[in-house]
Amino acid sequence: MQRLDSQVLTRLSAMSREEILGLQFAKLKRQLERQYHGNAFYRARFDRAKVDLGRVCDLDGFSAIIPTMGKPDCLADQTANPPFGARVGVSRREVVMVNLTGGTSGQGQEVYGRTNHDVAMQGYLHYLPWYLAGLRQGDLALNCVPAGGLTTGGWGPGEGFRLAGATAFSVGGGMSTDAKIDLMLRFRDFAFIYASTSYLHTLTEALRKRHIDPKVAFPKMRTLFIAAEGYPVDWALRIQEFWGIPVHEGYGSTQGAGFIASTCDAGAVRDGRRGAMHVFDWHNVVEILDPETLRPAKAGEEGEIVLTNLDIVGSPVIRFRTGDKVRVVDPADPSCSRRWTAFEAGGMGRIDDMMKIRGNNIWPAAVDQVLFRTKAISEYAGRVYTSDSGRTEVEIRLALGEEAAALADGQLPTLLDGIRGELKQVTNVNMELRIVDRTELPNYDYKTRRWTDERKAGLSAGGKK
Amino acid sequence: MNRQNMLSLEEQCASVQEIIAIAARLEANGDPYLEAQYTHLKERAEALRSILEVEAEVLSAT
Repeated sequence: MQRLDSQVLTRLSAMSREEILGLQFAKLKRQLERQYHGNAFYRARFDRAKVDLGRVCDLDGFSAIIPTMGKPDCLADQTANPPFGARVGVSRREVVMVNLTGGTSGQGQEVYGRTNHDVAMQGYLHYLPWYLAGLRQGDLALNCVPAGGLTTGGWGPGEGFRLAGATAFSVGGGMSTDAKIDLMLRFRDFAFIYASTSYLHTLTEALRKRHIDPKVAFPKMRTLFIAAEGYPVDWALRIQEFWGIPVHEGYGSTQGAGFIASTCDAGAVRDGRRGAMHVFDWHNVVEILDPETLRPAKAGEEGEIVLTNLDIVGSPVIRFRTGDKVRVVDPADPSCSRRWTAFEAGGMGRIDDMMKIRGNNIWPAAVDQVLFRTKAISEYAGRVYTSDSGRTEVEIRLALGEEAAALADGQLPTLLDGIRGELKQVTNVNMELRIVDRTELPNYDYKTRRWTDERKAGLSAGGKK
Repeated sequence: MNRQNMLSLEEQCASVQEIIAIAARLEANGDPYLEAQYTHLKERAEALRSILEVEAEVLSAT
């Protein structure tokens, strides 16, 4: 196991499962009491469900007694108590950062009001998995995730690198891939890269095209850290072979105020199979439940992540149904010494039909709303794929309706431009529109599935020699 | 561990607790011009305490 020059992490890594759960429950009890007495949203929810906190004696009792919540509960609270919702739980003047969810669901954006304590925790919840993956003080780090904005993922990394004492180059967003590579060649001593799965693929393909061997060009590189999108094992193995170092992965969200889990020393692949992501059990309670019965999924089974914050003060979540689907790994798995809650790396999915595209959460219903507003469109099919350059792209094939025939010359391009702009505004993703004959699209029945996701196939094909 | 004379986690927690108490006193009685910075200091220290609380027993003491 990698050397951890930290009493905190050494002790947490050596704890038995019972000790970890004991620590987690002590913090959970404190959080429940704090929220019941200081947060009107939770007090009302608990009172409505006739919760007696004295009866919450263990984690099983917590799951049985405390109700789950979701996005609609947050939105209703924000409508009733604008703009933050009573869920913020602190006075207005204590809120120093506002994070919003993407707003791409078509339902609305959750508002998270964070205190200085929370901003410090957000930074720490980025630094923690990066330290475990090998980031150290003074390391040169390439941050390929766009910085700033209203998302947790835009601010947490900068704070995390600062806490690490790393020398961060936040190149996400405005800089081309070739310009990033030029910068890497100029400074050479990079030890750490943080990127989305698809962007690491793009960067790798660009290096291949320029015949740059990263093992030679960047001899100090130790860690590739990815997040946000799943991938096939073969892809991770090829990336590791090309770079000569392990791929690490983190799972995080705005609701989690940063990373909630990350891979251990083995990285994203262990013995040719998916590795495990280990949950930071002392900062969040992660329940992995059957979405229908809400019973815990067993090792090897899939379940939905239900999240409870233990160390967040402003807008905390308690038993929040994330919709994220993972496969449970037994925390007693002997191939890792950590006894933290675990699930498979690289296999993240959704229990609904949401798609994660370049860091944006896209619900097909939001696209439906734009396209079917005009009767000129009769049907469509969407495709998410990995381009030859490794970039995630979206293509929408449109079949025109009878009303399109009535459009005057020149009106159709204007209509398509308007749709393209609206789709970008609603989803934050540029989508390529292509008109096709209706016969080229499938006949959808009962449960319409207009979307196909071909990204994993694209990642599998990309970079093969 | 590569650091000589490292404080125990309990000692570190107690020291951070002292910082929180000092920051709270400054927040309440210091120059109003610096009030937000004293709050910042206190809340940063509270986050540090959250990170250092790795024993259930420590929680009950803080």
